[in-house]
Amino acid sequence: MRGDKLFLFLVSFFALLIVLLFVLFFHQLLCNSIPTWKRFGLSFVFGKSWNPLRNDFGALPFLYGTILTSTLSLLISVVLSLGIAVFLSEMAPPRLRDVLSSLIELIAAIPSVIIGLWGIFYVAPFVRDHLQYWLEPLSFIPLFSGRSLTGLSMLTAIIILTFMITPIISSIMKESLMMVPEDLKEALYSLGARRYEVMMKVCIPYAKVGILGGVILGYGRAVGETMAVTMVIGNSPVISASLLSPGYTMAAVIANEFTEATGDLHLSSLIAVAFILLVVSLSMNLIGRVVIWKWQKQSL
Amino acid sequence: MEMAKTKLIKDKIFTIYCFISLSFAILPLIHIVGTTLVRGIKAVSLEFFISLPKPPGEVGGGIANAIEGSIILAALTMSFSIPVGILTAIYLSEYQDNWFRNLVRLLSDTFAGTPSIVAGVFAYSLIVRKFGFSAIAGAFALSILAIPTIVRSSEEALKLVPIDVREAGLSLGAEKWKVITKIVIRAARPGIITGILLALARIMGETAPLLFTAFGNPEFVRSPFEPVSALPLVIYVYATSPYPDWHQKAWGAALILMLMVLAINLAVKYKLRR
Amino acid sequence: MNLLAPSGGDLSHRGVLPILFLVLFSSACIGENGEKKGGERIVINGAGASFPYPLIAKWAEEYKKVSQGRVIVNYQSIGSGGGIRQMIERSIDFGASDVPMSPEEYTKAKGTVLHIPEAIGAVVIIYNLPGIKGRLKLDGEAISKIYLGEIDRWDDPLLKKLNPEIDLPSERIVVVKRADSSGTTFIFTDYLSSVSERWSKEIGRGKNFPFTKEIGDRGVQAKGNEGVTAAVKQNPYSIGYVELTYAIQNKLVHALLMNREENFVEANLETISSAALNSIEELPEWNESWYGFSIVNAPGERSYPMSSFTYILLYQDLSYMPEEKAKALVDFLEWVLTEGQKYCEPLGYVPLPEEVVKRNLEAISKVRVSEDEGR
Repeated sequence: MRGDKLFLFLVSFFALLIVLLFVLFFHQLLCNSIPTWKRFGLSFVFGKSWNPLRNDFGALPFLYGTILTSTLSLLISVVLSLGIAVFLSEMAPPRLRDVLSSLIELIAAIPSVIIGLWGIFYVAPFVRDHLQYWLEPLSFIPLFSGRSLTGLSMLTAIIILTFMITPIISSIMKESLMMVPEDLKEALYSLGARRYEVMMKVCIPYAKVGILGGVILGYGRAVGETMAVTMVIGNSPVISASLLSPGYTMAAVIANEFTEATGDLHLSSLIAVAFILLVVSLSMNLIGRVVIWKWQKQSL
Repeated sequence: MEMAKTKLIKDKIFTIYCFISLSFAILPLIHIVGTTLVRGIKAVSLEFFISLPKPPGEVGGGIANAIEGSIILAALTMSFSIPVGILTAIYLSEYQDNWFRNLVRLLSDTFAGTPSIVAGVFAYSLIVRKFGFSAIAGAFALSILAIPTIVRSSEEALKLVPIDVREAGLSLGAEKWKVITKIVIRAARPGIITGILLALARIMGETAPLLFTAFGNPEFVRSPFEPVSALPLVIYVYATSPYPDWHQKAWGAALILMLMVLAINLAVKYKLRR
Repeated sequence: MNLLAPSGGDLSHRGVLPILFLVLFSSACIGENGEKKGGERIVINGAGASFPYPLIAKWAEEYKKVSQGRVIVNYQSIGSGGGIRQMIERSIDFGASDVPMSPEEYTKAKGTVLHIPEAIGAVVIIYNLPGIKGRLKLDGEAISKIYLGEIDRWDDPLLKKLNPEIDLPSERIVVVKRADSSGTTFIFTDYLSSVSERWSKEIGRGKNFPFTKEIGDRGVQAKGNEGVTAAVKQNPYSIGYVELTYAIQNKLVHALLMNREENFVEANLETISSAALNSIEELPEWNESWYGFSIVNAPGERSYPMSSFTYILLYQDLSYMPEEKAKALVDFLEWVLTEGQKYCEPLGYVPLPEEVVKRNLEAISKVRVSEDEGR
């Protein structure tokens, strides 16, 4: 029995270590950002200007960039993922489904920096030389106004992000759709329903909780994405309505400015941004998991 | 009849939409992998693998330092994350659930979503301030990302082992901890290894946490307390530089990294199939 | 299946990695101690300005040969601001910056930080005008107006007046600046502040500055000299400011600037040396602050107006690091200031004048390498 007690002690110790680690994580970020909270209070989150020279810091440009790029790429990705999920769950024969699913999961396995590399040398020039001209007819909408002279813009970041989060969203959607009972679908088809009707009116509503969970997880992933975004977004802390202008995200500004923040307030502001980013990502992750967990319980 | 025709058209459009969505995912994938292959191959040579970099602006040299660095970081990260992850998973799966176990599980799952750059910030404030830029600091940041993955997949693998196995062992008079380590783990091994491999593939591709922890180093490294380079770091620095020679090397490094990561992922899939 | 058969399989399988970790860890400790004994490999870490990066990297490579592989210098280009900050944190062994530490930064440091100029370079204006022959001539007013957004097209009357023989296109100017905290930017803004009143009032000199509203979507920010070079290279009709070496290595044309005596000069060995030599009298003493010192807009017929020293930063009291390493660092710097100077010219930097080398060696002689007094 003594062996058991020791073993239990050992594993408990490591579990405790993890708890302490993550508590410390939170604590460090909070403590090291206190100068910023003291100086600006909550208005830091809404401060529009980020000017290290004047010791004036506000996180809004980064919140704006992060939320805008993540939300738009999420919307596009949901549309794409749905099509992919339907194709894989309904239209593809099992072997093709496996192959294609593996391929799509492979996208998620590609390191972010390689996607950024591809983004710099291919996507950005594509946006600069072609895509923005195709969008010209829409330029009366503020979102598509302006021109990008380098291709490094929020639009490019959105394209990249969409590509990166589609695997996780589509795979969870696919799993959710595959949970719809076969008999239900059989019955509907035998009554003469067409595929799109079955999908839109029955399957998707049935699987909507799982789908929602996947969407939330995908959003969390988009929010935290650093390298690929920072390599193509232009890294300019301006708040612009046009997607063709450069932008900045929370993750990108930390990556770029962290090693050189000479002022204490600058450093603590960056850590404050890291803290905000952590809270947002973790909340998304937590909510997404709870939703998926509920869906799994529901479908058992 | 009219309604049937409209429905037919709608259905066709829907099908086309599904195809187009699929191609919007698959085509860029093929393009990325293809370009990395084509442009990366040009950079690869024996010199590329075994030499150290030359000063900026000079042509030649290689990325041997980055390859060594990636290996060192992976070894350090895994040797810390694997024990911590597996032992915690055992704690969660082999004993009665209580509030603390649920807390551990919750924390681990939640922190699985940590943005990698924030892990780097944590590692900087904790480790770099005391030990300077080092492989240790980089490995610490990467561990923050690896541990939740290993905990979750190991716990799942352990939970899949049927209760009867444990009961059989206990009923034969073996101590609980022996049952766990010799029987349960052995049975759950494929799942555990899968989780470890996936975590490994992930951390090998991470750049952000290394930016201000591992820091970079154009030389070989002899101690974990020195700054170290890594494949993703080299890709990032070279890609954003103005030198065409460095751009080519970035693609070469990307090719190596991509092959490593894809190989691990494919190995996992193959193992799962058995 | 005999579940209880002794297998030694699993615990040892799992035990391998922690053992690996311990082995690595202990070999590391031995490694660390080995450094103290001498004769072992010594790694010196530095970081900072991208301005001298190609030169420092070259020195690192050559010194490795000189020390027969014993001394490794690892320099990372993270910008002058980064170099200063990491010096304050003392997370690196030496820093590099084109701009001396400001009084605030100085007080934050953990001791006296010596500023040792290791070379002289220049900031040049690079541009990307496809199909244009001949070299652009610019003066301080023109550059300042471009970067303030007042001049937004290449065929602006002011630019045409300076360049009558060049057929300037009517394209919009893409303006590239540094995103990070940069000594190169400091030199650039220092120059503009001394030649343009509006710049001096509105922006002043600093390691960074924001784009004005007039720049709008024509503005690009890039990281490091490397990033600015890449941005100008990749974007037609763009303009940027970088250290001379980057223009040379990337075969980018750079503009002729009007100097104080109203001559148009290009940045080269002769013109940069002229700027340095004409400012020698004002060199601070080894223990004085270098903050006010600048050779920008120097007098002299053939002086290039955006020249600058670039500084290595190190603590005067190195007793916080292992003695072997401190000695190696001092030896490396002495080599840099003497033998190393021959690598400046081929890379486009200007070697230090005798007078400056003397001052530097004097400063280095005051460095304390161990807990006991002296060397």
